[in-house]
Amino acid sequence: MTAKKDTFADEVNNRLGEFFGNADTSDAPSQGTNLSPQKDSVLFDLKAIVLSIEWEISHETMTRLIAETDRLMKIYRDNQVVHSLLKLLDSVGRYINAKKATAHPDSIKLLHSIHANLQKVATSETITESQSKQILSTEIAKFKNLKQQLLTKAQPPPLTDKQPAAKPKTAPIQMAATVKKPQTPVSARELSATAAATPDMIGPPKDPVLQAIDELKTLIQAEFKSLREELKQLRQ
Amino acid sequence: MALINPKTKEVQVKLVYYGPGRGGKTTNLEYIYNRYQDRMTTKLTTVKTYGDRTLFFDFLPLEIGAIGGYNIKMQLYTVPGQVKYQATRRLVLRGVDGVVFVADSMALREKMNAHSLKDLQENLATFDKSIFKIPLVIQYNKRDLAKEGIPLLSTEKLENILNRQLKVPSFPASALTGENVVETMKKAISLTVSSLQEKLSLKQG
Repeated sequence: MTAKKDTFADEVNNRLGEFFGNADTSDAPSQGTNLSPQKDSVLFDLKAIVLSIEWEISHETMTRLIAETDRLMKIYRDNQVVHSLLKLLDSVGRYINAKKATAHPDSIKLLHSIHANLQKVATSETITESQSKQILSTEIAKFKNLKQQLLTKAQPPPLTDKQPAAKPKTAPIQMAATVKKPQTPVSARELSATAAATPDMIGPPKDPVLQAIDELKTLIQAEFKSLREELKQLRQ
Repeated sequence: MALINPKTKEVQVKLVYYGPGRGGKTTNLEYIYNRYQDRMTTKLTTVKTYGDRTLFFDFLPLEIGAIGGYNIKMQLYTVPGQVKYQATRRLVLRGVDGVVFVADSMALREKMNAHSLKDLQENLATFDKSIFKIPLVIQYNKRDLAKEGIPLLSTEKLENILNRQLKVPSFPASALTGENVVETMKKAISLTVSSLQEKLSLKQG
């Protein structure tokens, strides 16, 4: 019996060995090892904080981030590109600190992107000045884009009878003319709540956008109801 | 219990990656998928929620070939780790054959790991399964963060907190760099498939 069991276990292990090969991780991506700051580097603590944020957005980590960017801005005040990247990092950090888990998902991505490029610009010996400036302008563009997205989300567009000029990729430019279809129940709720806060901007009760939001709400409620029922049945 | 089709000589085995939120379960599957995608016929399916977290589950089918005359089809799942998705976690565990518990090595996650393991035990119990009997492997993830100056729990301490009673195979790992990701999965598959074979032999007398 034991011999049979061992033979089977050997067969399983051989098959897994054949399929996955040697599970050594020598080819594992060593992300940014070359540019990774050494322990004595001025950027070492910043990287530790940014990595902590990846896993836990707490008030403590965000406060540390803001304090660290503040400290580094003083150190890099003569390096315009690094200083500006730090300023961007500081602004995004303050926004995430204020919003915590409800912060726009792109803000975390932007934080990592700014940090990665900051590290690149500050530590790479081969990067040229024009390349550094190009990196900075890309990050500024991303920052502006996020800001615009947040503004669009915060301000409900005046509702008209016209069909929405739905071009998500080119939006948001003319907020007044664009009515974006809410993508998630959260944004629908937000949009509806903001609209309720500004009654003078609300259209007639049968406005197509409000109707669509109501329909979406009903649909979600119905979905949840049926899911709850299914769960109840499964438990019984 | 695994789905066995004696006609087509196929066995479908369900392996679930369980653990606290933001622990690296999805990153484990992403690493496996990226590394072996040339041998996979289906894509990794992930449903993300606001903020890039797993809302329902990730699903990665994996055909590892014939063992004991049967074609083994692995189905790797992750559960959403956040506390509020308790019902989804339970649903994903339905019919589970083996579990990889992905623990977070960060010092500040000590309690979360213990809660999640307890949660796993309770959810398995709802399907009349015991955490002490199910094929289980523990992974201590994020070991790479040590060199970034982030305080981590030592593997000894993690063993003491999570594996003192279970005494199951465990691996220090980094889902981000791939360290021990494949080893963890291989061990879990090996334990699960062997356990299934054992159960089947017992049934057949």
